[in-house]
Amino acid sequence: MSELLTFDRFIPGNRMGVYTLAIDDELLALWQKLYPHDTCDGQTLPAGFATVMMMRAYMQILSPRPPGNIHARQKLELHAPIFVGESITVEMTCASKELRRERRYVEIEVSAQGIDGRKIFSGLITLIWAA
Amino acid sequence: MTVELKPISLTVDAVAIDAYAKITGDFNPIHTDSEFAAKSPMGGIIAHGTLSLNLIWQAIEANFGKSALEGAKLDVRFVKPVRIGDTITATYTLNDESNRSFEVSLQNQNGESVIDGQFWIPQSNVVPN
Repeated sequence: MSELLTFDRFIPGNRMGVYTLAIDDELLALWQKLYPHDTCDGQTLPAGFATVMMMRAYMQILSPRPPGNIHARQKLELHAPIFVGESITVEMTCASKELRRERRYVEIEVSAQGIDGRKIFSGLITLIWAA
Repeated sequence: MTVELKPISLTVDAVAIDAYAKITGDFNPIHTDSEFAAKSPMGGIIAHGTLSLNLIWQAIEANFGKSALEGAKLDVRFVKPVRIGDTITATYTLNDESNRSFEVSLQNQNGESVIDGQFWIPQSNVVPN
């Protein structure tokens, strides 16, 4: 089993991992039940799936995590729509870490590419790390 | 300058949180296990932060069209947890027409902010639908 990803193991500038994923019909159907006003045009996914893919990648790449981490802030930019069924590759890099008022802040840079290499989304996740 | 935009709302119930857990693969017990969550500092189940964040993308599309999403960006803080039974509404005001930025606030039914921040959309789409 991998060692727990504690605050001391984050190294600013280090690439933390890459994860490739696609959204299947089951998840899309769940989405449409959850957000009935957010329809899919059949060709491209609703924009919120950029957020979903980012979170799925986070859970795979930043693992195993100590319990109790807090998602404090999010920057996210959409560059291109995601095609239905398309595989997206998400990369995460530790941008910074800082102890601030006894809280362990970690910033994770995220970038995603489509199957043809086009930029899909990019952003920065700010977390208060539990341990 | 205040721009009247269509608000987007979502009522968060246990079914919604469970669905979002399946969509994201995030089954953290703080979101899915009422017994665990009750004993935690949160005192009960809270929704995933990004479950509400997604309303911002939906608001941009509803008000400015799908093309406005290409190049759209947001910068938000999660300020208060969302609980089962909360209705979250995204409201926004035009902040700066020159750089197409909007202040956005996602508030619960009590008018308390759960997410605060800004979003930007491409220049050609500042005028709402």
